[in-house]
Amino acid sequence: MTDPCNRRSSFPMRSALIVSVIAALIGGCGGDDDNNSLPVVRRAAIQFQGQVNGQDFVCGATYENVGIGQPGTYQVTDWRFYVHDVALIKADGARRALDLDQDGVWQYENVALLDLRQDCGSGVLPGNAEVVGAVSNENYTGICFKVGVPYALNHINDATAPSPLNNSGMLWNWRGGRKFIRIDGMGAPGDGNNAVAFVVHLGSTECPGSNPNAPPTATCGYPNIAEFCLNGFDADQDRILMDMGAALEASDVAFNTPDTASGCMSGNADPECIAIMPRLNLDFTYIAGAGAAPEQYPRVIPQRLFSVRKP
Amino acid sequence: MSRGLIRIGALAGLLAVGGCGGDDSGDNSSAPPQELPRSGYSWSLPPGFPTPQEFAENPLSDAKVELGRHLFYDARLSINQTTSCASCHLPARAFADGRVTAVGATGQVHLRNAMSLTNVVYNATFDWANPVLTTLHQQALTPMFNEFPVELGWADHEAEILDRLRYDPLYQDLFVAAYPDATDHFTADQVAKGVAAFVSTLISGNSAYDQSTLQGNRDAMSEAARRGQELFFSERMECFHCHGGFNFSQSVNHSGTTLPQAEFHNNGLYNIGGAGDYPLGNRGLWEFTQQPADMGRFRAPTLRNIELTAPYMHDGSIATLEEVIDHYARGGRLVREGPLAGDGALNPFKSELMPARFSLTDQEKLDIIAFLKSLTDWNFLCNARFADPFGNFERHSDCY
Ligand code: HEC
Ligand code: HEC
Repeated sequence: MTDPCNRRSSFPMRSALIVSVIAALIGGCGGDDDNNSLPVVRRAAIQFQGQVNGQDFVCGATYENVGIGQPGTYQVTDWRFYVHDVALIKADGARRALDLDQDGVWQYENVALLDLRQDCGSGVLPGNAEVVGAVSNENYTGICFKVGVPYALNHINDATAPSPLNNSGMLWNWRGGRKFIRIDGMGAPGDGNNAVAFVVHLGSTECPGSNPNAPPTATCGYPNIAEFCLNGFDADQDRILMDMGAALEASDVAFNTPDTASGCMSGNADPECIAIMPRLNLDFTYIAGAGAAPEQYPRVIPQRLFSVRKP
Repeated sequence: MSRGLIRIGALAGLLAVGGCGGDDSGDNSSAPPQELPRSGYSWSLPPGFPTPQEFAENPLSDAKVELGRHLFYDARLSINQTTSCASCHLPARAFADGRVTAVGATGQVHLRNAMSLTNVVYNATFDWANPVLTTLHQQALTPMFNEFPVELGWADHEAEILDRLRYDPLYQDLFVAAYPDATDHFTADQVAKGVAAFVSTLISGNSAYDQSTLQGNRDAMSEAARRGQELFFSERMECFHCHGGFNFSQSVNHSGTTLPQAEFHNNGLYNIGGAGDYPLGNRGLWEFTQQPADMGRFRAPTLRNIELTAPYMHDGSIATLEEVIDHYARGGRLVREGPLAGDGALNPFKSELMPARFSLTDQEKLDIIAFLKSLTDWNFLCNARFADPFGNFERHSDCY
């Protein structure tokens, strides 16, 4: 029989899942003494939390010992990212896709937006630290997810895109698509002339086309979508930590090469990306300029950006 | 197959599961999208544009928009019958006024530059930096009743001004048509709702840029504008981080918006005494929050029709687009002397998204200006639906 949970966004399969959800309900909840029939699917809410060097993210807070520079202070003022293709993993390696609730706000098709800001000083923000959906009711030992937006949804018109793909703060431009990760920050904040804007904006690069306001003419040269798989994950009680301290461990957050984007905005010619992109679980190609030989910076293994936190 | 159908199906499944599980932990902060009022108003939207959000308190109708158009251009709306909304929002200048800062009916000078009303309906908040002003109806009450400075001068003169309308047969018809169910038609609130209805129709999406981007007419944009577009969207200039999206501002709201998107940024205009201060009365979001980090934070306005809305910035302190580019190229403005002296590029509250210094060749500078000019929309400027019914305010001279 087809596994109803391993749908690949083909609509009939999706409806099959829904039908089975409803069937499960009728079966599972029908009567009090009908304890034997376990539902075929269960709910799961995958929790995320931001940290910098092990300290919880609070919007606007300044963290110490970030990166290799001195004094290593780093103030973080934004923290949002997209994930997609979230799946729970069984002991034998089999995957069961999480079928995301289509809530009209944070989740659309297989994509979810996480917004770890709660209050950045100008009032409470709605925020979202979880990915919620239904998954086949089995025993799991791990989780996998991809950071970013799949190509087919990444380059749609922001004006008419469904939420959360119309979130203006996550927009690059049409050809470039969305920011997959948006971390805004300042190195050496409050230190007069030494303060340096240093952000991490991840997204696809080298998307072909002659118009930044049209979808790319083909898939991007560097999609920059990485998958993360974590073992020993219990969806019912564990959280997934995202530690930007690990992504910035080899950076001087108070220095930015003149005439390049502040921090790393994924640019292949941006020297600040050499230390950062490989720590986002991505192979990075650095090309200093026209005619320069590409330099390869393979991903740092094992990745330390995401980890499991037990309660 | 309809995706809508699938989503309803998914929702039904979800509800059912919730009802069964009982123990559905996790704070369910994601509220379902709001029901929108369905006034039946038919927006005439440019291709690729989202439907504006309508507010239940002020449903639109053609009659209300038409009432609003008359009120907007009518000098009888001011204390001394000299000034209308249009006096500060001139149709020939994409509804800005060309002054450094605005001047009210009694000659008082406003601290701020009059904003262009291009696509105002899509703004997440209104005015240069007012986080709590979120409907055009409330916004319209501001110029009507403002006393510091006086703009239209309604305070203490409300009855007098309303009587001018009450006994005019033209307005008797217009108000009854706009508010068929009202018992008292001539109220300040209904005046404000009427002008709000009109300004919300000031939608511009037919510039050379739009024709090239959304209407398949690539050649509508010159090669120079096209090169400038590439620069605008580059990580060197960074303009699109704050002036991105369909309205060239991230701070947008429309019927598809589900999350708050109001944004305010300090773009390094001032740094008085090196402490980060902006001039008194023009400190932006700080005036609402008194948080240091909000010093000098203003909303990034749309750049549509920007060619026609000089001078620029909240206090009109930059005269030309060329100087705007110089300002950003330097990473902020240096005020050398006087009481406002300080280097805006070093303002401690300057946005992280501001470009670090960049340099442009002369050609690149021409290109970026050409791009900004490709955002001028002649169909908008010359649209008869937006014109003065009394014939006092000229449209742009190129319209004839
Ligand atoms: C004295 C000149 C003046 C008059 C008269 C005036 N305005 Fe304005 N308008 C301004 C100024 C100045 C601002 C910016 C205010 C601020 O930021 O504090 C503004 C802002 C606005 C905005 C906000 C635009 C945006 O993008 O957020 C709207 C809408 C608006 N005016 C509509 C009107 C309407 C409707 C009327 C008539 C009822 C009117 N104005 C009368 C000067 C004027
Ligand atoms: C960090 C966000 C940010 C970036 C990046 C940015 N802007 Fe702005 N822009 C603003 C804000 C905020 C204002 C209003 C500032 C004020 O009045 O104090 C503004 C104002 C303007 C204005 C004047 C608008 C008017 O109606 O008066 C122009 C023109 C402009 N920006 C063009 C650009 C260009 C070109 C770039 C790229 C070089 C750019 N901006 C980059 C935030 C930004």
